Amino acid sequence: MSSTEQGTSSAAPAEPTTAPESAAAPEVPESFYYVHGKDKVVHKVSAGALQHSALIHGMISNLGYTEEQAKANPFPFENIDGDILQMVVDWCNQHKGKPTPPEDTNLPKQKEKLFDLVLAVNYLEIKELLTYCCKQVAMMVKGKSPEEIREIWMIPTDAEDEAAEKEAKKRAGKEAAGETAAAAGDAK
Amino acid sequence: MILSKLPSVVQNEIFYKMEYSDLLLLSLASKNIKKLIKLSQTRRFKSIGYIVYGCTSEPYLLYIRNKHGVDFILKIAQHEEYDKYFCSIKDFQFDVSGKILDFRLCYQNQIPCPVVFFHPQEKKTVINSMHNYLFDFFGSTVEYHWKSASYYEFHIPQLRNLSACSITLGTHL
Repeated sequence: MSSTEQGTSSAAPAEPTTAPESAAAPEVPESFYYVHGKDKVVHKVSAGALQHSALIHGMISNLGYTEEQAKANPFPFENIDGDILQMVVDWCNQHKGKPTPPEDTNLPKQKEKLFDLVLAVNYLEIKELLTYCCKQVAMMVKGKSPEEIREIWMIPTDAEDEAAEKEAKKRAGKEAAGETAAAAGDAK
Repeated sequence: MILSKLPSVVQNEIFYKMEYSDLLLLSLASKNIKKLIKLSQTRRFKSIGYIVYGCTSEPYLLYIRNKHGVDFILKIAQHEEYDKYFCSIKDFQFDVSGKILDFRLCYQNQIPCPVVFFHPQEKKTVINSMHNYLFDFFGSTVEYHWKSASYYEFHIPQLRNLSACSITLGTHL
């Protein structure tokens, strides 16, 4: 029995009906946004995937960007390398609308790539990916001696820290002396 | 990768993801990095109830008991007896609270763990130096428990913040 028939025969007992497919709420088409990095290559990303980035999500909701405006003006991230932005976009697409797994093994193993990825992810405020990246960075020094850790993370020795501190103090002293001399010159 | 070039929020997150034994080894890399860890992990360290010296047998085990089990920190072992027992990944020496200590990184159940070695005549001073370092590193809020066994050793050292001590009575079979 269709819904129209139900309406006309009120005496008939109500039967459970299923709404015809045409009456179902139309699916909202997914909106897409565009981002580019240092290399100016534009990446098309769905709004769902971009939800991972608190920065971009905030930009979209605060600026009230429409899809057309977004297409004409991709979000520029000049401080992020193209390949790194690609990695971030891929990750956001893979984890769109899904609960994030406890571990992610697809992160770069090379130190410098991981370093750039950490900086990009921190900038874009992608909390879950930042957590994975930091865990990966932490794992780099697991089971390493202090000397090895120092080499991996380029930590200065105490002597180097002391020398840098002395140098900084010397520079600050010189700058202060220069300022006093300039002030005395002005007073004359 | 230059750690100091990462934003402090990222550094904190990295330290947070590290286990206590790794943080301890990292702290030995430089005085500044030790300060940085102490500052950034204050809340985490304050949440430590107590550190246990498991001394019912050798090697001694230092660990933190938490809700899920145990967070291992390091082992303390006698040179002559355990030199061969702990296969070395890396041997190194470090000045810890004014005393040069012998460290060894080895695998235990496929997990890397640091071991501090002592010669029999230096046992007290090695434990004291290591304890002073831990006291400074984890802060004065952390208490220490000493667990020993009557069949093994009855001596309880005088260590700062050592608030409890348990001695298992019985005979070792």
